[in-house]
Amino acid sequence: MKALLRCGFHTIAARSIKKNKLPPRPKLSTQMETELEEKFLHGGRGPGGQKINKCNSKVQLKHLPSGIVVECQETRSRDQNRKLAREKLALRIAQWQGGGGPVAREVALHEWERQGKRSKERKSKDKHVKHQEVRRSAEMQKLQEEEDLLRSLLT
Amino acid sequence: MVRIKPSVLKKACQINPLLPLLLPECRTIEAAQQELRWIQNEVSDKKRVRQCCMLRARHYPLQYLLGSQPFGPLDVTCQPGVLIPRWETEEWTVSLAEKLPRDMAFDIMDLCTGTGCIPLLLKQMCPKCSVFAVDRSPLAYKLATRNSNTLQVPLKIIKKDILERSSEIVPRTVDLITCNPPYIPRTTFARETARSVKLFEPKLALLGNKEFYANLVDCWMSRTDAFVYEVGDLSQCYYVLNRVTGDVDLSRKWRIGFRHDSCGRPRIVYGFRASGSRLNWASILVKFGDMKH
Repeated sequence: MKALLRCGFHTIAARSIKKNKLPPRPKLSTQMETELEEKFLHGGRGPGGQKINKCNSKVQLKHLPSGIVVECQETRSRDQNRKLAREKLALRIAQWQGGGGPVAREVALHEWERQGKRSKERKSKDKHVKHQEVRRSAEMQKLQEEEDLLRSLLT
Repeated sequence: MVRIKPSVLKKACQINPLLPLLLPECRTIEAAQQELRWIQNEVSDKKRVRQCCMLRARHYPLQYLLGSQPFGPLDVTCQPGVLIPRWETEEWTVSLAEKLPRDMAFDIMDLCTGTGCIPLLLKQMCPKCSVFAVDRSPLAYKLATRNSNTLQVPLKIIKKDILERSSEIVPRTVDLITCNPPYIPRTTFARETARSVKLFEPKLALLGNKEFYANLVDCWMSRTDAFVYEVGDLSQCYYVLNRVTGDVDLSRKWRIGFRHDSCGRPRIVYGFRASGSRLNWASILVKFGDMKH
């Protein structure tokens, strides 16, 4: 009964969040795009152009209404960095609009992670229980055999 | 150049023994970590990663090691012997490509094309155009052809010297000429050029001063309706401006402007015919830079 109950709870929990059905990532609306200030930082003064070969390209985005600033230099491509910076900024703006708390996607992601952890724990626990049972039955069998042997010797 | 402090080297070594190798080029631990990540992402073999870091310690360009440089949405192949595309060039090319009309067919010619990055991006963004690319270096010619094939962006690549044999280049006239000529004067080359550039990039694509701008005014302005030339400093911008304003005929027909890069350095001299051209360049290139004439 206990096992059944536990199993039931877990199936409910597992069904609650799926990785491919998370709430969508916050996106920058076209209106927000007009309120941005984009800067490309390449490390200040000194010679440029053909004289220097810089590999990194840092993108800095500022959302003017809120004053949120994000930076991105994860990849070598400025194009990619611009996209990533926009994703980052959209998340920060969503958090800001929601009053500083995490957004729905983050909550869901957190829950999804916890779920994963719980299921892992459950699996290892189940494994233990199973092993214990196997061991116990093996012991019982052994005892039984010994008893049988004793009885056969006595008779 | 300021030396790297031993304390920084030690700290880097504690994080990852490969980091001190990257510090001479990257200067900070964060930048070195970033670069190591890029190397590890693109090079799977650990031995090869180490080899790359050793070469980086000797200022070998990262783009030659990894074999490519992102240029706008494209990933342009790079090879030793051909200049690596710079972010400044990427910046103005993207901005120019966004301004060009998409629905019209016209001719663009890129001189001193190198990897072919500029014409590739322009053709990618305006597929209806015919784009020509000229370079005198056989290595550049080969690489541009390879890039055009791998990226599946058709270009017409011509191997000719634009200073010596410009008259042999067909087509005779085009609508727009772009060019990133060698523009580092010999006098400042030793002092101002970064070591990695000085040691490993081709001098042919770096050393030059006014000759390409003189060549522009003498040979190419009569063959095009508009031009966009990258420059190294303001004197090169003013050279073109003064040549145009100094000539009665050119001064009447042409409008000249300068454009700065996002670091505030003069980067582009551009010009277009005030009237009589197939496309309305005055409206296409509005806000591309500051008009000077």
